[in-house]
Amino acid sequence: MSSTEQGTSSAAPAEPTTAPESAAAPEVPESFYYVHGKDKVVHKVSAGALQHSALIHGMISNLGYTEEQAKANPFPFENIDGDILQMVVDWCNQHKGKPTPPEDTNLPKQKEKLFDLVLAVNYLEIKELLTYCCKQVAMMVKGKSPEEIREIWMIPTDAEDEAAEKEAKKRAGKEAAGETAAAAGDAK
Amino acid sequence: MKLSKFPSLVQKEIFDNLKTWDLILLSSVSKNMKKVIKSSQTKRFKSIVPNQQVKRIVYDYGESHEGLVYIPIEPHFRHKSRWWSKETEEMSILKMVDRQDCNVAEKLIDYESGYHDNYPVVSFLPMNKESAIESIHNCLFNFFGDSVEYHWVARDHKLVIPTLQNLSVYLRIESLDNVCDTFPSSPVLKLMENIYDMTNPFSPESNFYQTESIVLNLNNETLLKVLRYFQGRQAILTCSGSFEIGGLIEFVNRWKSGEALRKLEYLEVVLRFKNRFPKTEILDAIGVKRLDETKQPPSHTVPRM
Repeated sequence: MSSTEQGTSSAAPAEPTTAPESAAAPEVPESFYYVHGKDKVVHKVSAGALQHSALIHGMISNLGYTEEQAKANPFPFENIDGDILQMVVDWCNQHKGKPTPPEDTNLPKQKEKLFDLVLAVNYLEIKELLTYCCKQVAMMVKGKSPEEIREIWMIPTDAEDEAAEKEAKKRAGKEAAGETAAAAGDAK
Repeated sequence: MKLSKFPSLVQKEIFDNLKTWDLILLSSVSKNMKKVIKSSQTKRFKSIVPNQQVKRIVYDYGESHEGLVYIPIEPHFRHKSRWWSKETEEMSILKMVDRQDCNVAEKLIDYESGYHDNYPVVSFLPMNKESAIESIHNCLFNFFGDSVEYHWVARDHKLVIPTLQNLSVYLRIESLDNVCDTFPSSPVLKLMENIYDMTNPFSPESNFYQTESIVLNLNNETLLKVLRYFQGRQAILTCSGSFEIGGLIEFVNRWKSGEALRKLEYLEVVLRFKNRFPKTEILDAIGVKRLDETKQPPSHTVPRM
């Protein structure tokens, strides 16, 4: 497994070198966690940034890892492409501890990237980012004709839906027949 | 990007970000898509007109080359309303523009004409206007079916009124004089309103008398004719000149006897300016019984409008 620590180096805000004079309490050192996607590239992300993800936040709360344990056991997200996970990590870092703005213009413009990002963000339960992504997906069909909408979102025609339904029924019938035959064989 | 691959909650959030018109267009793409949209957007479509008995979609195409499609909040016939009853509150769905420089190439409708007051604008060539409006209506009808009424507001009797499935017509016009000659004989109107006093009565056979609701400004002659021949359900009639009570008495007596006007539910006659309404004379003439105020009056239920 290769390991990079892109999360903190590229997008996270620099940590203050000295504590503010007015601060009475000593600053608590920030804890970090590690995640990787399908490409196994590990990203180091602060607990503050990961708070955006209800899924990861829940995992952290339940596991109670120390920093050493967290480093040794990165959270695996095998269903998320590496570049998509990188986008998510960057977004979490950029919005760490900040109120989220009403719009986000930095989302990918390419359809397939946005599609993968929506699925990843939904899986990781990052509510604000999901809202932005859904807005962007909705924008794709504004001012389009029904045929253009069909093309953009790959919506099957009625005939295609009917054919798929028939096919699914046929498959289900075959599977059921196979199971019955297997059960009869077992009984013998 | 395959929309159906998104979990239903994600699909719902995407739909929440679409305008009503975009959802209607999307639902026209396939039966399955319509089903998905209807089930996930139930709340939105229920909340459109929560307090209205009859839901309506109005096409309002004025003298200009622009029209609006909207869902009005108020009912189309309001009691005590003697004014030009333009809907004041509405939820706009779409703006339609017919223009020569429309960039449509081979398409019937240009869907990319931008937004006006936060609702979509579509445009089409004037020569394609009827087909374009039919196509828009078909999309709306495909989505709402006969769960709503579809009303075409005609503000100029010379303009063409499209023949569309389930469409009723409102005539809202400044002057009704000479309309008979130019206005299409069908369909039967849902509502008729005017601003200036009508001075030439319709012929007794005119199907204008079958209009469901009328809010008209009349003179004595036209008021008497309307009272004589009206066959609709609701009428608010304002008379500008001196008024012969004989016509009203005859009308009420025919209504009471049940020989005519069986559909009539509501009548309001207003005398404008300084005309005195001869209340006692009329009440006596139509045989209204005086009740002993110490006794319980009989109850009577009228149909809801």
